[in-house]
Amino acid sequence: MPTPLLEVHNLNVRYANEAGSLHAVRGLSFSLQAGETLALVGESGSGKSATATAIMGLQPDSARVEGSIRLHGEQLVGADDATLSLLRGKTMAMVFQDPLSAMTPVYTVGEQLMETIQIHASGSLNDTRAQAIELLDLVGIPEPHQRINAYPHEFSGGMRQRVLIAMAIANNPDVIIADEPTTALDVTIQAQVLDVLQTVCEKTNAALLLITHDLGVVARVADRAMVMYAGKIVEQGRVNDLFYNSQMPYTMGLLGSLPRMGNARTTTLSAIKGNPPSLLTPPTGCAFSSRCPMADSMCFEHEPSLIKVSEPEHWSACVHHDIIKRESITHVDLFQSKTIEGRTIAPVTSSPDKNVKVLEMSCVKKHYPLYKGGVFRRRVGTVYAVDGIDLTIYQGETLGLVGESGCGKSTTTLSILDLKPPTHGTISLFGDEVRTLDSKQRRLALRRKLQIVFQDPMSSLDPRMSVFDLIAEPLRVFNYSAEDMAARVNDLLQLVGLDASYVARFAQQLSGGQSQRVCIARALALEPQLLILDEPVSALDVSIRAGIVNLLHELKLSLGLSYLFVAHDLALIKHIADRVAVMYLGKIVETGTVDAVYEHPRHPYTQCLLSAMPIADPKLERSRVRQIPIGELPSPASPPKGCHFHTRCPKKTTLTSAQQRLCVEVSPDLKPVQFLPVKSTQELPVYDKHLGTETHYDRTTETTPVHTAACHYSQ
Amino acid sequence: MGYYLLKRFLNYAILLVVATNLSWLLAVTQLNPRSLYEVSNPPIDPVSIENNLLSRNLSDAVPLGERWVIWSSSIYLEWNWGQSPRGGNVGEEIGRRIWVSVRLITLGSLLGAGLGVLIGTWNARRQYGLSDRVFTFLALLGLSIPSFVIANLLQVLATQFNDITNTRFFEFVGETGSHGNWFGAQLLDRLQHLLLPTIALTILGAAFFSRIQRNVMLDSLNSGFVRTARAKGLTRSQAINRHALRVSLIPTSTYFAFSVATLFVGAAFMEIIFSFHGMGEYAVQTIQGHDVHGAVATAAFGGVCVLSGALLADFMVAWLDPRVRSASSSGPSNYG
Amino acid sequence: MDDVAIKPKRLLLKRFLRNKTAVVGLIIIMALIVLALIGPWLSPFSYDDVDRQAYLKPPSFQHPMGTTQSGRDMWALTLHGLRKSLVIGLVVALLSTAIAAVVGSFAAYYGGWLERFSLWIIDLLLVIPSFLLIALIAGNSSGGSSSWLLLVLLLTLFGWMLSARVVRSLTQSVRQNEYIAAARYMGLSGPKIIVRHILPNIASLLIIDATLNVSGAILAETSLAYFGFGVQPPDTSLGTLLGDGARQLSSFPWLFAGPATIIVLLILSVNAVGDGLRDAFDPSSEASGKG
Repeated sequence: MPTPLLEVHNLNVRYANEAGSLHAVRGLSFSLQAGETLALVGESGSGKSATATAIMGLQPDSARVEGSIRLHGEQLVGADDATLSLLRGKTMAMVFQDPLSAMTPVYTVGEQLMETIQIHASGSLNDTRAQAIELLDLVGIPEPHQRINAYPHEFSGGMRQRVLIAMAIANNPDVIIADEPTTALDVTIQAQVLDVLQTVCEKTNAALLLITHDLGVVARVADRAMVMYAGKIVEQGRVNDLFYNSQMPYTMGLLGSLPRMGNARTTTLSAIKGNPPSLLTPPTGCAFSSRCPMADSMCFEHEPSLIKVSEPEHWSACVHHDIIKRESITHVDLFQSKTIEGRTIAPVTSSPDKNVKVLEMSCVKKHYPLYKGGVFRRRVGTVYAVDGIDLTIYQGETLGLVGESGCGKSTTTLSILDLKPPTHGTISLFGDEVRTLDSKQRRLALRRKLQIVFQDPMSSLDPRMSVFDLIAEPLRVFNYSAEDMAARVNDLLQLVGLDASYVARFAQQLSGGQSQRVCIARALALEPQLLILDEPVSALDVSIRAGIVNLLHELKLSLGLSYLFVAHDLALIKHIADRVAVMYLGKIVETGTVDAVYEHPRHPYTQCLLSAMPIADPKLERSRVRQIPIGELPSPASPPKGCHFHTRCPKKTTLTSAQQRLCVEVSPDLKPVQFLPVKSTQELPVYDKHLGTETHYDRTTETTPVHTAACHYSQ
Repeated sequence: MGYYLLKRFLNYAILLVVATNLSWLLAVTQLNPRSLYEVSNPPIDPVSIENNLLSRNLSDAVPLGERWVIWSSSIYLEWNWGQSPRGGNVGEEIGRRIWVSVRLITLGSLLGAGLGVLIGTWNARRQYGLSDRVFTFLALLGLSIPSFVIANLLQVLATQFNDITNTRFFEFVGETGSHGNWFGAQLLDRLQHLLLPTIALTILGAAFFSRIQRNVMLDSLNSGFVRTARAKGLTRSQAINRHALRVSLIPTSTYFAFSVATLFVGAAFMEIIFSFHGMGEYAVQTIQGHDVHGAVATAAFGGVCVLSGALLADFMVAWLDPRVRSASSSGPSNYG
Repeated sequence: MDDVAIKPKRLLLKRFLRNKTAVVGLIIIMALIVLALIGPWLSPFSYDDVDRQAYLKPPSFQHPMGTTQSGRDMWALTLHGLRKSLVIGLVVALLSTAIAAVVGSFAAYYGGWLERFSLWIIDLLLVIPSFLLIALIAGNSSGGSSSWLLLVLLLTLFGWMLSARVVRSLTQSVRQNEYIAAARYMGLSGPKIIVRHILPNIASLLIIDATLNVSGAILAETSLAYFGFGVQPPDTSLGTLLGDGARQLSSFPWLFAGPATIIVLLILSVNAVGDGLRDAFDPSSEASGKG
């Protein structure tokens, strides 16, 4: 084996803070070879970012770094700032997570990129500029000659991330560390940026240390991966070994907790209970023991170290590694359960009552004025946030609303919740048209039936209130008596799987998962019929998500709720929704039952979304032929004429110019691609992948469309 | 752009007109110019008092509305801000005094802000170090002492210095004194007179701006772009000087623009203590001297200063911060 | 479980106690308040007594801080002035912070014409040189024992605008939090959301602001008093004493030294406590109320 480029041995990072000393990285060792891509996977607080900053020598002043980090054999731990700055940007470079705050707002992109070059090389200004333009071109910035003079805030998130990548590769470094480089981006942009990252690493033969929480990204780009938990590596090996033959229960749990595109919807997700331990007091035994179904007294006694479980280089840190290997234990054995929070799950798919519509939106438009200028604020146009959509949710049904940020998902949910007439069109809730709500009482009565759970549980709970007050707040609005309130809060806590003792806690003292449970309890307090779930799990750690998803699924069945489930995660929507609506630039471009849309996406945008989404399955992920949309999402203030998607449509490029004219000039309506007999609404048809869906409907009977798409060429 | 600038100026004009009229109403009802004549010894003939007051539109025998029409029409039509009770044109007085104030505050405020930025930057980089703690305390002390106390103490110290060295190094009465005939003597004399008030203004400015600069600098030190700059290969100091400092100067400059403009009337203490006959002194004198028109004109001038300060601050931000130049925002702008 | 619930407050206390300047400041404020309260019993002379044997006398055994031109005891005057200044500072700070909280939060929450109107009023009051107007009214009022009340009203009237702007911008950022939206969708009315969710979450700012407004008000009164526009005789405040003393500083320093020391001590302490509170509430100097 050649000498490694980067060799980390027994790395320890401690942060001093008010609460004490946080042992963020505990004895980490790994090595990175030239040209390889190594992924460091972990949830927030696992110490992966601390590892990255320690390698770069950019840890905050309060951090203490011990151990050994060798780059080309040179010891970096303890080296002074001057020495390290000769290496930073030259031999090793870093791509940060948040591309906006990572760039100086007052300098142009070009100035910042040229600075990177000039720090390490002396060249004429013109040469440097030419080099910078070349770099921008390489990372896929269109019109680099002009864009080099733009300021960071004039770039979109994806473009900024490309510029950061350009800065990182400017001096052909040997090692690139990318810390969650695509986390802030939408899936289609993420796919583009990952492509760029892979391409530049190949071109410069740089080794990539990719830090991420997204197992799909790992499956797509990494050669090897390390799973980090509570400051330690718990399993590492080649990506295939890790994904198909996980040996550590935590890895199994993580992989099992992901909704899979292929899985049947009736199965629950594998949920890991509990929360990661606090690293203020390092665990005595295995850090995962308190959450591990296999844990026994041995696990609590001493912390296991990495042991080679299979050749060539698959290591796992588990006391019971031999049992796991011998009995071929998988996540299904450990985490798959037929019960949630102690209650048995009814193993049925939901059966919506298609006679009762809880929500009906027709031709809804919501426009906002667009202002420009900080000093001389003035209206410059209109944002067509929601531009004519129809949505219906039947009782007991989950409608998934999918789209990238800026497509109008949030505006849609807010315009429902506002209980105010939209700019155009009608919104009816439980049969009442919002425009006809004339009295405060009627509006309040409707409020009860409609509640929301937001994306960020931390932000949706008032930090100054106790859990009791938080859950009781809606009850107070409706004048519950003190006893009723106490009883109801108790019931609700139990319903969402929280201990009754939590009533005295404050929001700040809850973990993300617990906070989201409190949010759900609060939303359920008034016994609503329709729950709007706005990205309810995307702010949570991977290992926490599955528990919440299972809880939501179970609540829906036991309480007969209807959900409007807004998400960007297509696999999650496939898992939980009955029907799905795909949104792009204020319009619904495709809608239908989950099976129909996922098996036979008809709109090119849906096809792009599905193909851009990373899947935590290395073989599948690498063999897929991707269809990636071109460029970036246009501004909703000036949507393209004709089909909104035509500027990015990969399908359009395959059409003749005569055909393309239709795309550019005429806005397509949602047209049915498939029909369902009205008579049989009580039982959903069972689709069979192999037989195809065509056999299941009958055009002769009176029909309602089950699958529609807004594309001129979807047939 | 022009339209929006115009709209803004229009709003400012309305604000000024309302503020000035309110001030006039207050001044007319609160000040009593007649009392100036009535206490005079030997007593003045009531008819001639009345005539004097009438000629200056100050007689309380004339109905309020009538006086208001005369006062405002002379401003709008002739740009004449009226006369003081003892005679003398208010506008001319102000025109002369503005330049005295300018000479007084320019040097001190520039030095104060400059020193403050230096100290604040230095301290932010060594947060919680000894010099940081000392200067943080000194800045707090500087802001806690009434400015006239500082000026008076400086005056006492300067007197002692002059006595001990037996010189007249510090001059602290007025703008100029007697000076030689040689080239530059006049300038030196003026500088000597400026020395003490400038020191006082510098102390106050440095105390104020060091606190502001320290805070914004701490914010920008911890921001992601400083880390990026270091990741590119800049040393910590280079990254701070080239990136963090530049960004931190944006908010500080807006404070500076605003504070300089308001200092025109705000430096009253310095003017009175060091006998500079500027705007601040005038403001106090008009009120003490029952000078209705002088007080109103000073109030209007103060308003102009505040608004110019605000405008200047906004232009400063727009000039320094590319984000503001082209910022656009959208979305539901109100709740409820 | 109970100790978990009070943890945030304890952390606050811990952070505040770490700031030695602030702790010393708090002790000095306490001491000054006690001094002001028991002041009348600490001197054989009342502040308005005239000692005909001692006009403008330097400190002596009988008059530890000397006497004034009219034969009044400086020590008694200083204690009385301290009491008056403290009362003015506290009342003005409380009132102006309350106005700022109400105007700022309602303007930001409701937006629209209410916000525009509030901002316009704020601008107007900022454009009017407050110092001049207060001087105009207070300086020419009839004086008397209630003149300080007029002063309090005027200082409040012109003292809330900057705080209101800060409250407005903080409310705007707190309003972004989803718990505000959640409360609206629960059916809570606007005023209730402001009282229950917005004001408690900007309470730290309000407390800091009220603290700094105390020193601001005392300083403002002092400045006015220097020109004779402050508390009118025979009543007195630290500012009035200081203004009188400053004019005769080189000849009769005792008229100046006592009040000057006390006022600098007081304002320095208040400012130090304000700083300490800011650090304790907001160690990262970011807007509060965010989860």
